[in-house]
Amino acid sequence: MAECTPLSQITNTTSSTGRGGRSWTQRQHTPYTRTPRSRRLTGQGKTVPLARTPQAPRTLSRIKELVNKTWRLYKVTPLYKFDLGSLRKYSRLLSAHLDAEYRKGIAVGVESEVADSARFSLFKGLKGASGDSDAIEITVKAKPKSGQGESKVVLSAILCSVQLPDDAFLFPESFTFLPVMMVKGGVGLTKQIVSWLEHQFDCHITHMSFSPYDLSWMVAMWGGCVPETNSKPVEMMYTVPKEVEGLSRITMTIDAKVCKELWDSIRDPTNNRFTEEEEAAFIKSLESHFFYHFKVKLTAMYLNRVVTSIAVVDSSGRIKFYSDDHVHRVLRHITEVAVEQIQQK
Amino acid sequence: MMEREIFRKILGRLRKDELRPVLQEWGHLGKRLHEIDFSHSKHSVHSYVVKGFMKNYPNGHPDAVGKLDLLCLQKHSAKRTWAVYHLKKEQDSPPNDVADPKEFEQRLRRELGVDFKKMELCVLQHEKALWVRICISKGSKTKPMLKNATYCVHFPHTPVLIVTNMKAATAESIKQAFVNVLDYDDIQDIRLTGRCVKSLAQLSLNKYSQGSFSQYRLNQVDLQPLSHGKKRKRTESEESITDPRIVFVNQKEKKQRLEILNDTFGPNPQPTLEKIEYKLETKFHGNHYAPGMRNHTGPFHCRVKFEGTSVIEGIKNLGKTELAVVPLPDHLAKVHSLAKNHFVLQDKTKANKSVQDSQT
Repeated sequence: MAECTPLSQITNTTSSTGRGGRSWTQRQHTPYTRTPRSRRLTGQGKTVPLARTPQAPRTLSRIKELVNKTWRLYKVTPLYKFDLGSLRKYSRLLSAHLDAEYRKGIAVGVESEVADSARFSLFKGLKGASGDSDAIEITVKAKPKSGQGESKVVLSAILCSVQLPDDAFLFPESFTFLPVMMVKGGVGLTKQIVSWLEHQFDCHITHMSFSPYDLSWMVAMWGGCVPETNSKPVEMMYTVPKEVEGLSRITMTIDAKVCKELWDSIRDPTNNRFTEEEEAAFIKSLESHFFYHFKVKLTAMYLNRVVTSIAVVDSSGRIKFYSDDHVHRVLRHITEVAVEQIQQK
Repeated sequence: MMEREIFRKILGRLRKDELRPVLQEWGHLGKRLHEIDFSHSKHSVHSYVVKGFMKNYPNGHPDAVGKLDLLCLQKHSAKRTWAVYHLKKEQDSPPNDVADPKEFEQRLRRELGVDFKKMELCVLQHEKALWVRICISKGSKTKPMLKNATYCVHFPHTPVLIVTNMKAATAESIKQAFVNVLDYDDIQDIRLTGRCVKSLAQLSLNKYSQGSFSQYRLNQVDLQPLSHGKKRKRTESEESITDPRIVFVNQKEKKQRLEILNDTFGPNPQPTLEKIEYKLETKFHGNHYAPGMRNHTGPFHCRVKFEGTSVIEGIKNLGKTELAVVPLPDHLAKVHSLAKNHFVLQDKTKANKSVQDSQT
């Protein structure tokens, strides 16, 4: 059995130094990532809202629009001089840029649509704690080429930050940190918007991809979240290495109720954080159940796609939420992973 | 006209080099086939074909569409998923089987005509099997739609029927019609599905001669086992690296593993299956890592799916590359002899014993 350091030690070292960053002994000077010993599962950031303080009222929150759509995830470095007051100016600038690109001949929406207007707006309901910046939504509308018909939304992008981890790096006031960008729209249009954002705000936007290790954390943390309605079985899809000709994927689907029982049995309910040991126990127990029946080593395969009752995530960075109650939880984790991946660079 | 579009749709499924042989076999163009220049674009060739057909049969021909559709399907049978059914007979008496396509068509038409007033039926013989196309229209006035056609493959004098695209509404009638025509008592879905008709036929017909027994079926075993002559042909060594400085430490284990795999799977290429599904209803066996589950009674429901281009071959390769521990369990290694690809794994208990006995 791996030796475990006491949990109190871990939480102390990672969160005691506050927003100012880690002490010099813990800051990374190596190109390798340090695998986290535990992750936030539930729980708030520095500010814990009192039981009676109303959070953003549900009617204003637009989280329901995020559910049941496939989004592509990108990670965004801090934006320089992003001003919440000049959203209209940014909308104008982006529309002009898209128009110019179209005229240059870089066709966007080749078949029937001409990207017409872009709009920046505040996306309410996604802010996790008071330390987070407000979430921004960019919508691009397009009119069909024939000139008739009304314009419809062709791309929708949301930049957000949900409960930034306490030990994220420190940055001056002129920077806004919205590490996660979710995009739903065409590839060409996305590229143009990304290049404009990079140019305008001096940031760096890249695809977010998840390693099998990240995906196994996700399935371990969310495998036990079974909402009352619409529970889906927990599924893990592995791709087989190329040397094995003929077989391409192995999928293991576990009934939701039974998975929750397993999750409850390995979990320490008093702890707010999900530890590495719990994650290892979850994944290893499922893989050993598989090995007992088939004598096939799943540990040697690449975990490619993970489906739980609250979200489905795959290694290329595509995500789909199933339950609007748990969007916060999922995005909180995505924010943490995005920050880690940015810091790694 | 509707027929023109239907023709174009069917012809569009064929590749350019397949057009001429298929049209020749179709035969409804007659001499006009030689007038068509196949070097033109596909679109114009299709126009010529349709024009030629209209000239030959100005009032149309009832079976032309069906025959062409069936011929196209024979070339592209891998585009659809097929399911295998087994015909059952209670007594041991041989069924009144039929091998002649014409007679088969007549009998089938008689049977199906009882339930359905308007239908298209076409039976062709292709590679020792009877291919059947049944297209039933919903109302009495509407024409049968192309996408509603059900295709079946029957191997004469065997109880095997391979079917694709069977719609729920007409499934029972079609199944019953086959049972009556072929003089059996019942038909059962044996839970074997795939895309390659040949492989499915091999798995269901040669169920008891797969794996290493396939050598006997294919006549590969030494005809004179008692003669001890030296083998002229040297078997190629697995390792192509001939550097003398490299020493392979685990040659013996590798050889043993390959021997076991060859014993279970046989040296011949495996029949192709695209998917094998298992439904596990056994107790949880990951208790070493999750001690809290030791008290968990009741089955741990989960499903496992193996997918790929040729899954049985893939499982053999898993053993070869050491990603699986050899010897593999029977329900994984012996799939070639089990004639199904949807399995249910349960614990061996007294309650389940009666279920097992009834299934074998």
